[in-house]
Amino acid sequence: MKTNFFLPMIAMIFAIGMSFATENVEIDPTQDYYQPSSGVFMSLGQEIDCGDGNKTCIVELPNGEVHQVYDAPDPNTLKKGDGRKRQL
Amino acid sequence: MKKFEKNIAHWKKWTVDVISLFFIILFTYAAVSKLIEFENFQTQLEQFPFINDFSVSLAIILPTVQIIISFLYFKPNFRFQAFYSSLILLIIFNLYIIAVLLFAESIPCSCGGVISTFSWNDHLIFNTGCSLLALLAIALSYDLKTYKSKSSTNVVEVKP
Repeated sequence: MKTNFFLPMIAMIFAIGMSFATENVEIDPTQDYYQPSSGVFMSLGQEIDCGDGNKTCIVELPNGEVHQVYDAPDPNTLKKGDGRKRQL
Repeated sequence: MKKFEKNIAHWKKWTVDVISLFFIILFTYAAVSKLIEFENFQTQLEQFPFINDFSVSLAIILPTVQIIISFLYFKPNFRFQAFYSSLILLIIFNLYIIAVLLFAESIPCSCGGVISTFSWNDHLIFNTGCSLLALLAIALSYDLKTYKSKSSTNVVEVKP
């Protein structure tokens, strides 16, 4: 009876701890981000190949919006490239 | 023969318990991750096709449902309901992903925590695997129920 309750309880505490622990696991080399007008960073779902260069990397979303590309959900991580606009 | 059946029943119960723990971890993790980054999650839902009109309600309802399902697993009497609810939730999510993959262009992922690195195809595969696990647990739970009622009937027959 005790195991029936405690094991799920431990599993739940473990999951809560894990979600806090992985909260900042957002800098993922396979993902790039953009910052919409809301200010909240959004994942592009993939890494954008921006080419070589020192110009700002720009992406056009399927809905037509054009945004700058970031390496991480952080305004200091603006991605550089050849400056050509990429389509998502 | 009876010992063999007992062993099989023991393994079935163990499998159902492990699957229950897996779903508790999965749903609690998903719900808490969404709640930690609630604002981000809600904004992402707003940009999703088909459901953006209900983004605020969904951002509240989804984690709440996931936490309720996690608590259902605590009581062995509610395990059936918990497995069925998990299966229904996963099927709804799968149908949504299929609709997104078929009718929408690429969109950002709304998943919390480490699962945010999943692509939509990865999600579909992961959810299908979870749905199969839920189905397996439902089937095993039915088997165990039948085994229990059968053995209790046998006990009654032996008693006199």
